[in-house]
Amino acid sequence: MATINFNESTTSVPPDQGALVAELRDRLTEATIKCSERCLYQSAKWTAELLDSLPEDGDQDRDQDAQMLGADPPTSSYRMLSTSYDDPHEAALEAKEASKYLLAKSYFDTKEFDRCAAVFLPPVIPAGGLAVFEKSRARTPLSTPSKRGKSKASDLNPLPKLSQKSLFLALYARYLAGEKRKEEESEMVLGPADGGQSTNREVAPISRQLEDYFRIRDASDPQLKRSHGWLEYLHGVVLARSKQEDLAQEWLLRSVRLNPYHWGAWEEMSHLLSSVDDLNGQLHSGFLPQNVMTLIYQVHANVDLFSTTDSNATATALDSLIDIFPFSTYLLTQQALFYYHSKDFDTASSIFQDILVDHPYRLDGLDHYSNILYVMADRPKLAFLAHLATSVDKFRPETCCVVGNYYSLCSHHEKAVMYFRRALTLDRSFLSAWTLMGHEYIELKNTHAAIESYRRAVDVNRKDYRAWYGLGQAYEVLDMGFYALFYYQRAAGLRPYDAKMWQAVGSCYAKMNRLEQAIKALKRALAAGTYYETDSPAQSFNTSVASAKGKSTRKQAGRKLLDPQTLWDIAQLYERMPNEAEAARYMELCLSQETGQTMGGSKTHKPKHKKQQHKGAASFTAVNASQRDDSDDGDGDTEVLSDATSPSSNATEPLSPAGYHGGNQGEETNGGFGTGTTATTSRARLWLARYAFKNDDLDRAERLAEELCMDGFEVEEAKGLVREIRGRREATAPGASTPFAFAGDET
Amino acid sequence: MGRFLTPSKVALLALAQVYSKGSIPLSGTARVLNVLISRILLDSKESDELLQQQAGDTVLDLEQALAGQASAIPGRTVWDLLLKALWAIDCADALDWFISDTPLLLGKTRDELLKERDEGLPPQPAGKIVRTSPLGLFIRRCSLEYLRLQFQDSTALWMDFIAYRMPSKGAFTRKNPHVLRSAFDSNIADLEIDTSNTLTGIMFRRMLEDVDGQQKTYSTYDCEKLMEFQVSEMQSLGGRLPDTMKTTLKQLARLGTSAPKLTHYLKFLDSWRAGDFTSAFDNLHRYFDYTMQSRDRTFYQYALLNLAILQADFGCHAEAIPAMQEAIATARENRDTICLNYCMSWLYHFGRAFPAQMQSIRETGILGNETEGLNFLKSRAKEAEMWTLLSTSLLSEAKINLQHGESLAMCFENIVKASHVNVVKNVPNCTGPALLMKSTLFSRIGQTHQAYSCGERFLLCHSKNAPLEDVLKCTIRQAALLTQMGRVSDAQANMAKIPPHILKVLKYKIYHTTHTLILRARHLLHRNALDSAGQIITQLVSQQPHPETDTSTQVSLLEIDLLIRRRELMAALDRLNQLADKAPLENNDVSLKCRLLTLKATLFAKSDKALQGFSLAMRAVELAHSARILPDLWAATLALAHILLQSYEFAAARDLVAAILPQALECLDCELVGRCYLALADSYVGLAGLAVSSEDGEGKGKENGKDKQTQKQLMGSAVDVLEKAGEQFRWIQELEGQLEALAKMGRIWMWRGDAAVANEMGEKYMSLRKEYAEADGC
Repeated sequence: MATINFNESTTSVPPDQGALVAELRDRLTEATIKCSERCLYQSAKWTAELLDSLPEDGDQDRDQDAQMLGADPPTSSYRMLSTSYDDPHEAALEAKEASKYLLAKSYFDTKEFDRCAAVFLPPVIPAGGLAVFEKSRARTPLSTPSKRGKSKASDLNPLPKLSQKSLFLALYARYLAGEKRKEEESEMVLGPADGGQSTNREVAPISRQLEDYFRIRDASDPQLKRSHGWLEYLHGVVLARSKQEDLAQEWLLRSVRLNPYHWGAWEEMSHLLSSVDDLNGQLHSGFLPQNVMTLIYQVHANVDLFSTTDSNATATALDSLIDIFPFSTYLLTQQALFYYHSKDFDTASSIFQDILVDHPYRLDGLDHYSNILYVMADRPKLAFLAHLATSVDKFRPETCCVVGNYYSLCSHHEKAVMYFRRALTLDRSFLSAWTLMGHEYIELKNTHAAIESYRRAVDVNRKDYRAWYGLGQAYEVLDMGFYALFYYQRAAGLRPYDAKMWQAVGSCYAKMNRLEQAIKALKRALAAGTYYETDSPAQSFNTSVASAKGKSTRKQAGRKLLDPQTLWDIAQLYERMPNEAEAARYMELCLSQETGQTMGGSKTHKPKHKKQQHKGAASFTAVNASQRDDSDDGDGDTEVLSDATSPSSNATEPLSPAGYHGGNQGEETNGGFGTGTTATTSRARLWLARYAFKNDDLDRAERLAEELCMDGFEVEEAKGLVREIRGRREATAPGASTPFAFAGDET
Repeated sequence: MGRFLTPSKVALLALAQVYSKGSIPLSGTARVLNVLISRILLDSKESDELLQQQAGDTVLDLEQALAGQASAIPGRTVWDLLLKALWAIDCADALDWFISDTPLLLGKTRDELLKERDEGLPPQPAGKIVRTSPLGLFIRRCSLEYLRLQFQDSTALWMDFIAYRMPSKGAFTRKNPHVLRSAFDSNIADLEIDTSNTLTGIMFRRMLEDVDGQQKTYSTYDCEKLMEFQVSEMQSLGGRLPDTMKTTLKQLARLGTSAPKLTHYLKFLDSWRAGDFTSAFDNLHRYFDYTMQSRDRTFYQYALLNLAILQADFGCHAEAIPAMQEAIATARENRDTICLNYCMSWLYHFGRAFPAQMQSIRETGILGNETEGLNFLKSRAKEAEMWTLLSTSLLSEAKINLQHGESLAMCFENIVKASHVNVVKNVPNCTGPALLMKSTLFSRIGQTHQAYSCGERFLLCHSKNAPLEDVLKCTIRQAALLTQMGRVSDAQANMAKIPPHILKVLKYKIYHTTHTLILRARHLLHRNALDSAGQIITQLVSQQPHPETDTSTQVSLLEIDLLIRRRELMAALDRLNQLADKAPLENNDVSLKCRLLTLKATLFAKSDKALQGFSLAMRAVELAHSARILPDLWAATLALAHILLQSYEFAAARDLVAAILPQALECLDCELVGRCYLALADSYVGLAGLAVSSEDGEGKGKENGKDKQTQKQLMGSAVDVLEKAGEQFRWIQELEGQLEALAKMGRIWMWRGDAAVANEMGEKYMSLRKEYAEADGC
């Protein structure tokens, strides 16, 4: 659907690229001016940037087209655009209020929000002042509570007759005043008062007023001819703050339909999306206007949702958008983020680097760049970036995030926390700082603080899988399996193609002794791992302890890989089911990862949390519980099993997960033909040797054990095993020949 | 400005790294370590310049220090290796790695060793630098301070480092071509942009701002060290800020960074010394306002102490004393012995200098009388182990002994005690004052050459560590002694030789000027240029009261001398009486008393009322004798001789003068000796006259020839003696004395009937007079 939509919007592009650009320029200019008139600074900035990124040519010629759209020829485009030229009624109102509006705007600009609101709106306190309050208290038992009061208030206190612009400004100022008070109430970041429970007290009255306002206006103007979309936007925002999200979405949709070039509304709408399905539903619904903004919105939402399902569509959409806006830093950033989410870090970082060189003063989005550099463990660049950001402005949340990431990469976690806190003090809704701070608290073993940070991140944005995953991790540390499982599932739901999520889910199930589900989850992880064709876990989540050190090479594997560790885990789980045959199959599969036929195998680096080693100790009882993920698991299952059933079918190639003893060593020894002997595969070999021994396949057992001795892993165990085998052989050999003549494959 | 780390410290770390890698041959180790340690241990106060240089060491200074030191790698010097280490740091992150890795150079702690042994771990490789060595401490401190840096501070360090090593770029690229990618940051090279890009403009804004500059980077630590050093220098020596330090302070101000609070104190001291009372007052208050809260110790007593000293120095005695009393009370309350002792000592010295102001103190009895006060101070100083205070107290005691005319042995004992303390407890800045005291003592017992050599010793050997005031006083004393010996031009040269940094202090400048004027006035009086001398003396008198009572007395004596030479004897007597009335209040010195008595006797002698002065002269002699003030004793005796001469007791006079002459010669006081010779000549002539008059009266022809013979002999001796007197007076350019000698000689030649010689004498007389008049008159 996304592509269809894209096509629709592009159909309007081809006729005349120039005309389109000219129209866009006009629209964007108008939007910028109107946004700044309404003190929507961020939207104004966004639009202006987009406007500036349009190609330069043919500016003057296109004015003709603009005039065709506009009613009268403008002498100065600003004048033309600033007044509501198509609505004489509004224009008259605005003209009447001009002086008051200027006053209000100047108050707004000096951040005196209450004063700004008071210019247009009557004071909130009822006419009687405090006397009313006392009276009502005196007769509390008599007075009917809130309902009557509310209706009365709305009756008594209607909005004055104002132009939409002034009304918007006034209400918006009131809203911001509430936000400011809310922030002041919560005091220090993660302090006692900062529980996220303080609310914006202005939201409810504003929402009520707007409701009344719209009821009256819609009645008088059913076609919405006179609506400009701003108040609708505000209503949407206010509703979203009071958690009435469906309603909010409705109003925001209405707003973008009326005023598609107001980016704030789109952004707000994308915040309300909870999944790709929501987005697709929205795109299908046909409520969205058909223009370039929808396309940008679609891209933005897709990137925001880490959606990788229709990555091609997003990529093409991005490309075509960049064709229209060749210099748009916003779009370039989105593109870089897109590559980042699809694990193409090199491209992402090179895009960011170009943006950096061209716009050195621009700090927006640099936190993402620092995340990329973090994942790439590129300390020098990260230091450089931090230096640059600090030189530009050291008190911007982005800067603090960059510096925090740098310190985190240097393992100075206390300092990192300090900088993330600073970022949050500057902007509490700065999502990535909450998540990253959570990671740092995990590193500092302060699990409770970590949980709180993650929780705040999730409250700000429910689509942040890293925060969900972090929550899961924290609860796992606290041994609260059910909670951990829940959060891991949320993370996996957001990122179904990330092996790490599924591994976490699997390990959680295993911990709770729900082995079948654990196995399913792990198989899903295997499938996901092959989907990305690279070892995603280390990179998808930038707080892995082991990955903080040594730079592992991040070349893409040419072929699909199976992760031996996961295979080993699955085998372990099967063993505990107990289903030794399956376990043996997976062990063989694990072993076969090191003896592939292809040359120059990829090198991967697989850090694991140590706890995964220990989790197998649990005893097993099969727990059957129908899970939401079951159907998904099914897919993964068959996929993997088709691979797994043919362990010798050369579907795999040498894989050397750098084990616990440092990745670099493994990589170096791994240069040539399938010698990817690692701790994991060695353990698999030992297990297989024991298994063979138990099944009296002494030759195979001996061969495996000797291999082990040669490889130098688990030598003591292997030697013991060899002795045991020889002992058994000597005990049985004099009597008869070996009972099982399976030695055929060896000879 | 960073707290501790500066680029030069990073360079030292790099040098430490080179050193610990063993790439320095054994023979060069000492030199490299010397370079390191002399820059690490700022506490060892070698000298002012070294410290300043270290605070802002440039990379080229290091090159100088290390140049030519071969390393273990053939063909490379230590400097090359260091450069390589410095330029290997190619981005901010590399600097981070570098500093974070420096603790690896250190050896293991005891705990680590124990743990290793107990757990049987294989020995981990570790550095060789002992953790507790100065170098080890330095490395640990550096890495700790780095850890404490905020991010922007570490980037500032990085940028400073780039600027710091830039001068060595040429040297590095010469040896290692094609290695260097960017002189700034390798990331810039990665981005493939040059330094003119906006990006670099943003990042290195700080460096672009002081592009002009050989601007040295200071850390707060360095600054504090530097200022502490300056303050202690200024406090112990009493000088002003040297110019280099002033430029440094200006630089700091221009950097706009927060300078340490001590800056205000430095400014206070400086403006105090410069005589700028308002600024000093202002800065003192500012300093204590800023530091009152920031330290855990209360400094109120110190604030008061400083305030009191300041006020006293600017002549507000009435306010200084209550302030000091409060300081003492506060110090007692806070049990701050050191401060208390300082206060007491100051109060004591203040009391000595201005006894008149001390009425209230004496009434409260804080210090008791003088000796009690001194004993108290001595015991307190010993208790608190304040050796400087002990030494100065002992010297003060010696001084009191002298002034009271007590036993010489006691004086010497006290001086020796002080010297002992100086040597045993290593108090170098009191050695000079002890010598000065000794010099005074020697000159009192007439051993002028000893006194002079003590002074020379002080100036030659100990002037560097001694308080500037003492150096100045000693120089002036030496000049006075030289004048007295008749080496006038040497004396003037000596006065001109005083180092300019002493004269930058207003108080010393005034002191110096006053004494130069006194010497000059005395010289002019000798030359009989009375008008010029009168002018100078009027100037000096108009400046009364001088901060030192000693100076005032000298001026008054000059004034009296002038009056005498002008033959205004009545006025001179009045002035003398005034002085005598005032003296016991201000200056309770036996010597002065003695001199006044002598002077009065001389005055009576001059006004032909010699007998009136007899008892005065006797008293003076007695006093000087009992106090063993030999020069005064000889002067008093001479006065006595004059009285005897006037009363025709020529024989007694001759005997008296002949008896004191050898001792007077020992005093090396030309004027005294000259007057002695004159007196002797007078006595000879008188004796000769007696011989003749007896012949006239009795007319014994036999004896006549013999008497004539005796008379001639006596007259001959008189001429000899007169010649000697003339010689002495010539040395000190005493015109009147010379003329007197010549006139008397002319008379004798006339009497002998040798008119030619007499005439010659007359001509000499006239020409000498003319010569002097010409030299001075124009």
